[in-house]
Amino acid sequence: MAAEKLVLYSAWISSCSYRVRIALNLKGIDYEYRAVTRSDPDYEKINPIKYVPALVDGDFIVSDSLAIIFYLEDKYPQPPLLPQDLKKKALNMQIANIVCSSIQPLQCYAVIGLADGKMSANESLQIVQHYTDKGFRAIEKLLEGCDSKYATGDEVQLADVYLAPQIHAGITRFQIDMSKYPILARFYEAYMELPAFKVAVPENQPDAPSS
Amino acid sequence: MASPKPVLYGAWISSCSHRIHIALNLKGVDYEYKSVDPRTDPDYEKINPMKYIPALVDGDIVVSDSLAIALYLEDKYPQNALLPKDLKKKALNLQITNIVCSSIQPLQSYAVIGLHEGKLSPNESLQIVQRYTDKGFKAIEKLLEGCNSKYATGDEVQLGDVFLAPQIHAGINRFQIDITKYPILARLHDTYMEIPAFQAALPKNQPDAPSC
Repeated sequence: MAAEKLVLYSAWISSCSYRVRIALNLKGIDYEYRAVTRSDPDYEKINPIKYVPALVDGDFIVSDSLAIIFYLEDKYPQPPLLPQDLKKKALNMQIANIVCSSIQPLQCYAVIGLADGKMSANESLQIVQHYTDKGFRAIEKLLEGCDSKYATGDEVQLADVYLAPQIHAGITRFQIDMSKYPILARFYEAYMELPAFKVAVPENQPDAPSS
Repeated sequence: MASPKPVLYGAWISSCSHRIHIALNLKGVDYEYKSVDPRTDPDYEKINPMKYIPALVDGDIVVSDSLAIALYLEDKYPQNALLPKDLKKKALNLQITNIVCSSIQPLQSYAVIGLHEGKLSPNESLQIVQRYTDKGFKAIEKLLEGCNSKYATGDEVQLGDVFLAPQIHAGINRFQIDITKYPILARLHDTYMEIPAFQAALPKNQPDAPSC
């Protein structure tokens, strides 16, 4: 009997889901996409914290984009997203964590705060821009003098998987001026030439609005 | 010539630094601790452009962010491994770790800084911390439902425990979290407090902790 396809619970606009879609595409993994909305009452059984994405592999469920991507990295080692070299690996992890611990959670807090009427549109945008700017400036400094094709070399690595969705969200949703971050802007153009990244963009997902 | 000790930049009260003290202690790595206040130390930005703690300097490697540091230590000092080989247990450890370091602590930090800068009242600040702590802790209780192992994912301390202990400690000591609402985490916390590596890592036991 053929192995079941992986199932990805995702939302089109979620940058965390976007990371995992990129990783799945880069590794050439076929998967079933299941769209989740905030009001879906059954989703809590999949992920008790009710965030997307979640991955189901047979009887195994894992949530949180980093946990999912590490699981994919172990189960489907090609192509690898983490280098063997400890210094480069640490740099990838640091960039990924600036995105997933220092930018995105505050973006999420601001978006939910606005949706729930707890803050004004201006307050919400200011929070997102403040933390995006802080994180992007730090990554620009970490990568100062970088002349490789992607963030940490000439192959796409974990840092790129995390950067692309964050930059995309910044540009398309939060009026981030990428000309202030020239290294990141250059990478983003390089990412947008790659099929694995293009197929994963929010606008190309089955649950994206049609207009 | 003996290689220099790794240097941990941190602060006594920082739960992110607390995680790395635990990891270093568990792995028996001798290290130098340098207390730093990123808000007032102009040189620290060269170590970590985000101006967050902790940072680890190990020879020519400078790495920041507690998860990046923990995974670096896991590779460089593989003794007393913090991540299991089993893919499912490994994923569970990373999921718990990330609930703490992406879904609870950044909002705690936001609320603490907001209070410090006068942008939030003490009540608003505390409510944010408690809401996100409760959401994260409830989720972890569900993930660990029926857990009868000594620690979160087995009978050895793993990465999930390293990240849980400081978050629970901060919740109890600083943010009036009623840990009895989370019985599995409460039991784990009692167990952590019996381990020398965890005791030595406590905020109050750091050189820069206030003496009263």
